[in-house]
Amino acid sequence: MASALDIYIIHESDIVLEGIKNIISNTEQHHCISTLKTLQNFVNKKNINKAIIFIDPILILNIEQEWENFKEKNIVYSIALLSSQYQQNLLAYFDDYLSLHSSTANIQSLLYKAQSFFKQINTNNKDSDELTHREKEILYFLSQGKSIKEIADILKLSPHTILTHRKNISVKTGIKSIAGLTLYAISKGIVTIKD
Amino acid sequence: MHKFLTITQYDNLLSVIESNPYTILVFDHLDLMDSPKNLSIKSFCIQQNIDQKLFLALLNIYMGNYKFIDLPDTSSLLLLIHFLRRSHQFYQNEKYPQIENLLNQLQINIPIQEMLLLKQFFDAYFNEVKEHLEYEERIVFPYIESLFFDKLPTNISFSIDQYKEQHNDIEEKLGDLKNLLLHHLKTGKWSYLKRQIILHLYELEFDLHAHSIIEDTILIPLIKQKETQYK
Repeated sequence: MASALDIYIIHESDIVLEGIKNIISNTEQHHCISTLKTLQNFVNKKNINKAIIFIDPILILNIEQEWENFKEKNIVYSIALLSSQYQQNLLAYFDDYLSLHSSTANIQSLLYKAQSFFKQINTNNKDSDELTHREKEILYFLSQGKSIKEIADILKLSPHTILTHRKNISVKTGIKSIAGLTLYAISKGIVTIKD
Repeated sequence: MHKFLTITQYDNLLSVIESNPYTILVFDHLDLMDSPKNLSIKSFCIQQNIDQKLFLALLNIYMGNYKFIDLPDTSSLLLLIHFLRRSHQFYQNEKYPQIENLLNQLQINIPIQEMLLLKQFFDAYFNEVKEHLEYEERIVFPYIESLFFDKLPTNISFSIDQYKEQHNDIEEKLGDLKNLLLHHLKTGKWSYLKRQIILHLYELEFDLHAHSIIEDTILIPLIKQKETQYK
């Protein structure tokens, strides 16, 4: 049986909040569910370890950078709650999505997907702190001061993929700050001083 | 932590210290290291003439319990500032030089770039700490002292919201420093230096963390209470 999770539902509508909360509460596991109507203080949180966030993507408009910073500092699986077509362009900022017009069964599928995602991070951590080739590549560019978006353009990957690798690097090495990761990269010969 | 595990006035001080030696820092920051400690907290506070509620709150925070603290009265603000000022001296005059000296020794004995960068990383981290400490010395403490002596301060620009924002999370860099030394940087026969640095970092981290909890859970609420006297 999959383990219980911390779940956050962030939406301005009470109907959506209560609806999703009730659907999740009716599943087999006892998850810890919190509902919020704004992203304002939540986006400053740090050290969240494995939580699922169902969120109205509109809420990250104009604070995209804070949202990206939040995802860098926490281990979360973010799910955009879609109610209309025009929100599609925001999908790049999230790990997954749930259409509010779809069946309730999709919520359970997403919970399983999130649990697999977290298990994968755990496995990476347990097996070794040896970084993969891709992770070393990304670490190299992070040490050069490149942003997530810049690295995504260079490597022709999605920002979401770069962010996932970035999180894995922090989980494997135990180092979160760019300065710390740079020092790590130098100690492992991934970058040299003249770089 | 459960409420029944909080320290009370009936607990013996020596038992508290035995269960968590870091609580010695509370005595140091209150300048009470030479006071006898084999007595109940209640007796100790009477003997040393210190505010019992404040003392219990500080001890409980150092024991990791900050959910069930009884907020002291505003009358304990001056003693609290004294405590916080001595904490600042502890960080700047004791911990920083200790760690800096050991990092310098590492650099001298292992003259590779990583050790130089490690020292720079620590300096960058501690500069952030110092900024916060200086803000408190320059703005926060004088403001509180003015309030305490029933003077509404006109020449000190202070806002609680701005002060709260000062509590930036600098614990991340300290965590990175520890992990770099614990897992990634090899020091060979100079490992005793690494061991000493790591232990000092743990002590610094512990006290800084308690320091910020004290400010958030005691100092700021007391400032707000004191301010309401003028509204």
